[in-house]
Amino acid sequence: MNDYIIEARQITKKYRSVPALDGVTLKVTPGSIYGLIGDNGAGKSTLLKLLAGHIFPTAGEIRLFGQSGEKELRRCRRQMGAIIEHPGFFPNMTVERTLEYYRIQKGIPGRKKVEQIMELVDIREKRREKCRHLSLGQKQRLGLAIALLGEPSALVLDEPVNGLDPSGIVELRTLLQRLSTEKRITILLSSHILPELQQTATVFGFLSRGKLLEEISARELYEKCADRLDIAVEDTEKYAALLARHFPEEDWRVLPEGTIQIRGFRREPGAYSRLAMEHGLCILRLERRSASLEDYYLNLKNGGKASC
Amino acid sequence: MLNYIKSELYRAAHSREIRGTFISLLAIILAMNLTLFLMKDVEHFRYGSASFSYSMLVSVPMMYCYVAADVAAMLYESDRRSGTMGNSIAYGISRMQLFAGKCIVSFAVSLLLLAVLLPVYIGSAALLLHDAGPTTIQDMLLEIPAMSLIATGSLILAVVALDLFENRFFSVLTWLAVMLFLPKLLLFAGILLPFGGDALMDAAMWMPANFIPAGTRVNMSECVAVWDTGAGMARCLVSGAAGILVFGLAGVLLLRKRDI
Repeated sequence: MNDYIIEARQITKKYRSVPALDGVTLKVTPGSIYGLIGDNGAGKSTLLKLLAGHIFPTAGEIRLFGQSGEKELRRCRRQMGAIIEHPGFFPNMTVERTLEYYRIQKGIPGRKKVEQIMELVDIREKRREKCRHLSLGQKQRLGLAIALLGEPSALVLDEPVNGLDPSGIVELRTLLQRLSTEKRITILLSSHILPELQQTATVFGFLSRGKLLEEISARELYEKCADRLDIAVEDTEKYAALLARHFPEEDWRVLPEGTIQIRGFRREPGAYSRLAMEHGLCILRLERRSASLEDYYLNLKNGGKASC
Repeated sequence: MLNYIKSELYRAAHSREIRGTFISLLAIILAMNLTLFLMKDVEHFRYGSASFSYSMLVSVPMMYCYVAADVAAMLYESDRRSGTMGNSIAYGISRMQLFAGKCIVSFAVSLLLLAVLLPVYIGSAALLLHDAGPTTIQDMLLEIPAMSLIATGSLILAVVALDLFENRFFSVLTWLAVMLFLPKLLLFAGILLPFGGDALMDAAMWMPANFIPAGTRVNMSECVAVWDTGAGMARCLVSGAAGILVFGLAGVLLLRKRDI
C-alpha cells in the first residue's frame, strides 16, 4: 500500500514569471480528509488544478497513488474524482443525461449506477431538469455526483460547500465523512468556511502566497488550540504554587508578562478564582479563551507562533 | 478514447443545437426546391430546374467546410468554459485523446448530416424539378470526394481554434484567417513580389480558397468544376490531405501541454 495517495513534492507553478505556487510539498495519507486552507490567491485552486491535470507544474513532482510520470498520473486519475473551481457540465443537458454521458465516458457498465449516484447526492428529483436551471447548491451536488461516478479512491474538491444552504452543508459534511469512513475514500478539499472545515477535515494544510505554511493533524490542532484560561493575579508565584498543590493535574504555564495560562482546564473557571480568594490573593483578570481554526490560521498567516 | 468518443456521440445525439441545425438545413433545402418547383411555370423564370438547384451547392464547394467547422463549433465552443473538458482531463483522458476524439466525433456528425441531407437535396430536386441544364447529379456527387479531405482539414482547424480560444468569435476569426484570408494574402504577395513571387504564388494556388474559385465556373450555361479533371481532383485531395496533416500537427503542438 502507498504511504500517500496524493503527494506534491516541491511544486512550483508560475504564470508568466509570477509564482502562484512556490515549492509546495503536501502529503495526503490514505483515508484522510485533508482540508486546504488559504486566502483568495493563496494558490489552493492552482494546487488542485495541478493534481487534476488541468495545468502542468513549472517545477516539482506530483505523485498519485505512489505513481509519477505523465502516463501513470493519467491512469491514476481514473481512480480520482474532482471538482475544480466550479462543477463542469453541459448547460443544455438534463441532469440524468449529464450523468449518463459521464457514465459512458468513464466506461462504467449498467445504467443503474446513474440512479444510485443521483440517490446518493440527493438530486434525483431534478433528473429531468436542465443543468443551467439548477441552483448553485444543486450544481455542486451534480458536480459531486460526476466526481463520485466510477467509485473513486480519492476526491479532490475545490470549495465544495460553495452555494450550499446550511442543511446542504451538513448533508455534504455527513456524506464526505461517510465516504471517508465507510469507503475509505481519501478526500482533499479546500474551503473558505473554516469552521465547517474544522468539523470535516482530519488534516489541515495552510497555504499563503503560494507557500505551504504548515500541515497539521486535527488532533495536533486540537491540542494546540485547546480551551485555556488566562489568569492575572497580584502574586503570580504564590498562585502558581497554589495551583501546583491544589490542582496538580492542570497543565499551566507562566507567560512572559506574568499571566498564568491554564490549557485545557478541567474545572469551571470559578474554581480558579475561588482558589485565589481563599488564599488571600486578588484576581486582576480572568479570561477564558477558546481558539478556533480561524484563530490558528490567522495567527500562522500573520507570522505568529504556530499555536493559538 | 473509445469511451470518450461514445460519450460524445451520445451527447451529439441529444444535442438541441445539432438537431436544430439538421432541421434548419433540411428546411432550407426543401424550401429552396419547393420554391423553384412553384416558380418553374412562371414566365421568364429560368431557374426552375434541378440543374440550377444542384448548381447552388456545386458553385460553393466551401459550403462543406463551413458546415463541418460549424458542427465542431456547436459541439465544442463551450467545452473549456463549461468545465466539461476539465472533467475529462481530471478523469485521465489526455489532451491528445480529447483532440482526436473531438475531430472524430465532429467528422462523424458531419458525415451523418451529409448522409441524410444530400439524398433529400438530390431526391427533392430530381422529384420536383425538370432535369435540363449543365449541372448534373454527377457534378454534385463528385464534389463530395473532392471536398471530403478539405472539409476534414477545416474541421480539424476549427477544433484547434476552439481549443485555443475560449471565445467563439476569436475561433471563427482564426478559422477565416487561415482558410480564406491567408491564401488570398499569399497569392497577392506572390503576384506583387518581384523575386520569389512565382514560388509563393504556386504554393498559394494549392490552397482551396484560391484554386477552387479559379477552377470553378458554374452558371446557367456551363458547369466547370475543378474536380472534373483528374489533375483537379488530385489537387483537391492533396490539398485536403496537407490541410489535415498541417492542422493536425498544429493541434498536437499547440494543445499537448496546454493549461486549461
